[in-house]
Amino acid sequence: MRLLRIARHRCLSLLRRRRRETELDHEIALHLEALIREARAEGLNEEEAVKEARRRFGSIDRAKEECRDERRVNLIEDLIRDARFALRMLWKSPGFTLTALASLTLGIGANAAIFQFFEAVRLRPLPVTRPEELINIGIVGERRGNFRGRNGEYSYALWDELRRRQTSFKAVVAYGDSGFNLSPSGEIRGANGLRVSGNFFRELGVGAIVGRVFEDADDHPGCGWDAAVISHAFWQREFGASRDVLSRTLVVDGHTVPIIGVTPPGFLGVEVGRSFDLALPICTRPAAEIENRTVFFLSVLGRLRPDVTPEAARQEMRAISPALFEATLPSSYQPDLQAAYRRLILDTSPGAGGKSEFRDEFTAPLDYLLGMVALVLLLACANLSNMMLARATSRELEFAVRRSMGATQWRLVQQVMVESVVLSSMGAVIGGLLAPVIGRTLVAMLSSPADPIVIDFHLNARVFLFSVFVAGVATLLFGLPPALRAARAAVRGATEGRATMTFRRALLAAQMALSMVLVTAALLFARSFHNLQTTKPGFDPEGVLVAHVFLTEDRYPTGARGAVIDELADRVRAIPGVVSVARSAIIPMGGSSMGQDAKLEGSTQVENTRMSVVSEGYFDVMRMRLLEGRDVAVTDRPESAPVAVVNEELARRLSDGRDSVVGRRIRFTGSAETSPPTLIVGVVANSKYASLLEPASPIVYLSDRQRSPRDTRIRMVIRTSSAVDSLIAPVRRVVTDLDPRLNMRFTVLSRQLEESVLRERLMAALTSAFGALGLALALTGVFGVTAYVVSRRHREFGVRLAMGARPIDIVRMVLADLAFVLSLGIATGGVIAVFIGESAASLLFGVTPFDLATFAAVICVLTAGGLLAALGPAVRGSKVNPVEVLRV
Amino acid sequence: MAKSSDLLQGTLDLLILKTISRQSLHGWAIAKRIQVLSGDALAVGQGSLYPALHRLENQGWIDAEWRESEFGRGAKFYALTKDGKKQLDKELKSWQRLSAGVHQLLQKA
Repeated sequence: MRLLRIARHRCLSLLRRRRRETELDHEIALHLEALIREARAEGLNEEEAVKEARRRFGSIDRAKEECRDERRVNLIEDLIRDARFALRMLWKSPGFTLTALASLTLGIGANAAIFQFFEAVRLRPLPVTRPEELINIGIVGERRGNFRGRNGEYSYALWDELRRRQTSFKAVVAYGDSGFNLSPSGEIRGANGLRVSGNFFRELGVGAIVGRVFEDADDHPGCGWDAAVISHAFWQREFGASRDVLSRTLVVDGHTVPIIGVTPPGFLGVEVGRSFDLALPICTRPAAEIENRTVFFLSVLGRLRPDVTPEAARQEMRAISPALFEATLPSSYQPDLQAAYRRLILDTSPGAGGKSEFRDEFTAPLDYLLGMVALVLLLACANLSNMMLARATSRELEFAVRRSMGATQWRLVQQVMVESVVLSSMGAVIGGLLAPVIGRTLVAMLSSPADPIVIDFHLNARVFLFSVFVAGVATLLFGLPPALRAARAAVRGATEGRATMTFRRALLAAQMALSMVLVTAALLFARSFHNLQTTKPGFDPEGVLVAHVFLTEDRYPTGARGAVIDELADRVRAIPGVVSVARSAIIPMGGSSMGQDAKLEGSTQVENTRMSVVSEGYFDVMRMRLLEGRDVAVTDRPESAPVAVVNEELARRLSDGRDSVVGRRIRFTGSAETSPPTLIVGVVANSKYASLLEPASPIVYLSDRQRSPRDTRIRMVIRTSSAVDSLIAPVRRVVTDLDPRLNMRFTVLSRQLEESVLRERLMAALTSAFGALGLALALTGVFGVTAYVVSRRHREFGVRLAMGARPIDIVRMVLADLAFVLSLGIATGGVIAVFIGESAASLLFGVTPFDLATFAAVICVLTAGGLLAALGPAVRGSKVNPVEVLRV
Repeated sequence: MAKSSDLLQGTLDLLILKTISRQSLHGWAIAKRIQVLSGDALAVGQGSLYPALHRLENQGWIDAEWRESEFGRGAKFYALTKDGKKQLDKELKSWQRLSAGVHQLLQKA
């Protein structure tokens, strides 16, 4: 009961403060009146009565003050009052407030954004049931011979055998990326697809929100295209989330497939950074590919049995490896290739996060970005700290008065800290709102149509806690120095001691060091990217359009293809603006690859080489120089001897730099078609194959009239003298004129190249932004501190000038003093930068971390910038009027 | 600001509680009665009454209520609460113990 009463009383005190004050005034007035009356009754006159009454009462103000003290509810009321006061003070100095808020918002927001990425990609487990039980089962070992494809390590045979033999896992599931075409004819409408085993959804614990997901029965060899499961996002996009989706069908790669279910929102597949639109059973893959033991297109995940440890599972996988690979050995492999295949081993790794190409590519860059963005925040805090120190100093008088009125040291510290907390809370809130925007922008920058990145950003506990943590650290960093200063100033009540001056200079040196690191990193990455951009790919991508035309087997069996291909080429050549046309099975940086083991006839040295199958004129279209011999020609027919063109690198490796290889024969040792030895007819210049970053690879080019490519797609490369985009419509017309039901897709080669270095571009852009920001912050700091120092040394300058010093001497003095601090900071920063650079070496292209030119440039920029920033205040300091200053 | 010594504060609290134990009074009346009953021995300044009253209200020993007073205007009347009565008994006992102890000490010395 008493507690309730107390609580009520305190609440009311809090809320009705003013009324309480008035009540008290009233009471006291009444009391005084009574005292006066008493005094008068004792015989005093009016004036004396009042005095006597006052005397008897005691100090009115003290009474009121003590009542107020009693009424103080607790800490909360103090804090609220401080917060209100802080807001008022901030409102009064808009310049400071805006600058501070901007720095904090950017700093905290950027940190939160990068962390969101980090969290989504590296920390968050898959949205499946008990992800901690999942294990990735991968294959390690030398991959040689004939291989194709992008992801995927398992052939169907391997997957099947593994399924049969393993015992450590409750279940194993398989999945593979696929691109599907949803449009029945004409230009392709691509969709991201998954091919999954029947138990995929069930074992992962992903149910359907409409209809059902796959069962074991859905995935059996020889199944038709009977069932598709679509994702929630796809359902919303394509069908407007309508409930009748189960009665609808999709046309996938020309097959009509009924939709049997929709997965829940939030399930994007098991690969972070990718999402899927629809899933089909593995058995829908063409039979030829399923039966081919050299086509690797699946990945495997397993869910551990409760009684089996991850280590035990790994041991079992290793143990069954020999038998597994023996049983799935491709018969077409030559002996040494077979030996390499047998040596492959199964290995396990934690699967809670799934596999992710995005993660693998971006782990290192993300780490660096996180580090850099933390540095930017530190810089901002240092700046803010200096600014607030200056403010604290100018409020010395205020603090002194408060102290004399009874405020304790801690009370003052508390008040200044509250100001800082208010600032950083506002910054955190705005920054927190900004973070997802920044994150989504980054994802948009990283995505390309060919390789869309999908990441699920949503505010969760981790990100929120991180933002709070960052804001807290920031508050301590920039709030503590001025708070302590306020407390100390109150004690001494004097001018700024040496300690604070040194602290400020130390802060400045730290700022310069941080700025040095940021700017150096920015320059390194910018140069690296520039190198990448100016790397010669070995061919001329400008003005080349790539047209993919899908000649499906049912309508264009092998025999009829030749005629159609030639007809198509002729018609495209006739389009105005087209310079040349050719075909190739592999488009550079296109994402797929072919390879073979090869050796010169008569030699024992085997080289693993990359491969492509091209038409005549390919090198011409791509402007690749033919160094020796000739190109493949129309005259190279299936009946005549097989020919090939090798590139410089392959020629060099095969012949050990001795004689020319033209005229010699080459054998492919890893292939089934024990084709007759192939005659080398020409040597072409080196070019990039899969990535702009790679060194020169050996490549062999076969003739596409002699060797039919495995898939049904023709890739035409078309060089035009007019704008590439304007060519798409005419080419499309040509194809549809030929056969309206053909599917096709277009890519602009130069754009494809750009997209392949998106990661490097992003790193360069972001580090440049951080570098610029860091530089701006540091220079602002220099300006601010110098101005302050100069204002403090006012008197000293006046004296010196009066004693005969020239203004230039003053300027020199100020700058010399600054130069010391600058060089200290830059030196420290330089050392740190070298260390960081060393560890970032893997991300840099063509630039060594300890690059003298870069370092020299940065040092110059920072020194010059710093001195320039300080020049203004220094000059102003030298213009002090000695008379004014010396006036006592 | 230093608070008034605990002893004095405690005594004042006791006096106030005792004074209003029989009937509720307003501030002036309490001061008058203490003055009269103690024979002017306690002249700490009547203003210090009010902080004490606030403190006692904070603790829940007394309750305040605005009522018509003999001055023709409203005044705040303070009354003892049930808990306040218990507190008063407690403090009376401890005061008696203290004063008995001091008395004994002074006799022996």
